[in-house]
Amino acid sequence: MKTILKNFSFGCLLFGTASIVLGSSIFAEPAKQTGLLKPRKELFSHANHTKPFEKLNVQCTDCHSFAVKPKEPGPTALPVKERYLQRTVPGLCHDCHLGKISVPLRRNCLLCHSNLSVIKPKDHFNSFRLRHGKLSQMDRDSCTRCHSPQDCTSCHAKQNTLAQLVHRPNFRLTHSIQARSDPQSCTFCHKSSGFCLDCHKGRRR
Amino acid sequence: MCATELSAQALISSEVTLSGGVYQDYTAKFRAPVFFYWNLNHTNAAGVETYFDLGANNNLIENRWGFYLYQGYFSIPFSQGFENAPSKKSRIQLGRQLLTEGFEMDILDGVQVPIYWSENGGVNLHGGASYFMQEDLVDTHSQVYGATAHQKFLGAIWKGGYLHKKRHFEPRPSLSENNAHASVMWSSERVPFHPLLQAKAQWNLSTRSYDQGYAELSFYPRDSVSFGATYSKRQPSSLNTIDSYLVFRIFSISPVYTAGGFITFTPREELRFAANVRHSTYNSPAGNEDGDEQELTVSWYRNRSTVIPGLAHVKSYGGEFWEPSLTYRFDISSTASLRVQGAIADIKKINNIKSTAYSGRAGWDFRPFPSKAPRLSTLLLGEVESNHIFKIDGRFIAFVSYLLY
Repeated sequence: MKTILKNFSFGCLLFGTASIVLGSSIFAEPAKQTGLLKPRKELFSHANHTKPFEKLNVQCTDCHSFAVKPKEPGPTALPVKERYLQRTVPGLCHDCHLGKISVPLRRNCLLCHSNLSVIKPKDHFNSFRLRHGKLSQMDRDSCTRCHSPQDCTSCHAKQNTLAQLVHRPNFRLTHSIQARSDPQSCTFCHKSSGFCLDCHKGRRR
Repeated sequence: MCATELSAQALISSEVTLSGGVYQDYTAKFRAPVFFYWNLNHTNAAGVETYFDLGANNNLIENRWGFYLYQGYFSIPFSQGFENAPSKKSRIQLGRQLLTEGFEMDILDGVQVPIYWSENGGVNLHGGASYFMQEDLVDTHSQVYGATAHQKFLGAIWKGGYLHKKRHFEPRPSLSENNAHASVMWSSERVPFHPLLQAKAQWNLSTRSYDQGYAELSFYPRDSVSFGATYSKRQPSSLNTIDSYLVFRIFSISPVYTAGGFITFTPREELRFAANVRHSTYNSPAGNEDGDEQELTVSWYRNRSTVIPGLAHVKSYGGEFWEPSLTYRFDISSTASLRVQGAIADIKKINNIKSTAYSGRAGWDFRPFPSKAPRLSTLLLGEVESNHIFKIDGRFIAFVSYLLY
């Protein structure tokens, strides 16, 4: 118990110090981050959506309101192109892309968002790497709203990403310390003695 | 970037990746591994989904091949989900798939039948062969059958289920195990500090004993602050082959008990702080052992840049290390991004090794022909390490992917 309290105090101390130092006014001018590839109005292409909308029976008036009028009345008034949209809320695209149609999710988000870390739900930052397994087991199908089946294997089994997603840097040298810290954590994924022996017996170099 | 193509509402999404690299091993021999990944997700007009994710690799010089089917199944829906929960479709899933019921985390070669009677409740029936995440095997010696029911009730999600597991490896006698598992997750916006409670336990019905458990209590008093504590008791199934939990067996002769805590603070939308601590305890042949981990990370997003400094500390019977790290990501354009990561670890091991290890890793993800071939993606990845074993250890990998949305 003492050790837990000591560790927790240590963590809080580190956390508090870093928060005070870095959370102050060093970083001014906060900006709304969406991680969009382009501005929203440039992302949407009517040409690419014509066929899907016909199939899904989406009408022009589902998105556009012709009740919107320009400020200046009369035939010489400037058009109100952007205001034709009935709603300008971010959910407009998501109404279809995350709901009405069963789009295979591979890169569904990447169609419009370049940096997925910006659009992660808030709860995905709450120590989520350690907790996501247990939370997802409660309601796995709710994860499939945004995630595809290969999202599990792309982190847990493959290596073709920019980020080092599972293990820390220098893991080849530190894994013995980590394994002895929590031996059960290794066996979640590494369920064959061959995995250890490949390196420790020199089978893999 | 192209929008998703629809043809009579049949949808297809696929990605093919070929990668290769070269490195020099500690005997000064060159190695040249090549990897191939292909995943395909097709949904036809009737909503039947075909999905597979496979890989193959070869060490070109030794000509040693490996084939892996990570997942591959058909999903045949017999309902179209609910307006507010379109992903909750009653369906039959047949083939190789992940099984994550109870405390299982296995590959299942068999069938799962999720049935929803409402968007708030249903049951998942499952059965087939499971072989502990070994993607290159189809093995029917180990089998698992069961059912799990779930329902939202009194503001919480309740789950309960039964698992029958059996194993038969000649010439050993057949073994079987019956488990019951139950879990609950409750959260409330009305209670001060907005708590979230999750508890989960598994009992071995054959021995009438409490087998494994997990509990978490976390609080979200403001959008910018969260903190919580976790507890777990974990151990491998007695039915697993000894080979399948070697890492556990060589260190521990008892369940591993872990207590942890986390706290996050988001003073601004683009700035996040997170800290985790964990303490584990178990019995080893040498006596009682403890392990401690602490990690602090800061994530700062600004314009097209992401900066993530971090600090990790791990201490166990095997030694202790401190590791500060810094990661920088920059979205160069809509089709290219750069990621650079550096870390220094100060390591003291039980066998008197004291070392400072350096790790550098950089990747450049880009589309070489964004206008002529927008679906062709390339990732160049380089990694350099320096430590007491290798003065310089470097590797370079190039990935070429073709995306069909």
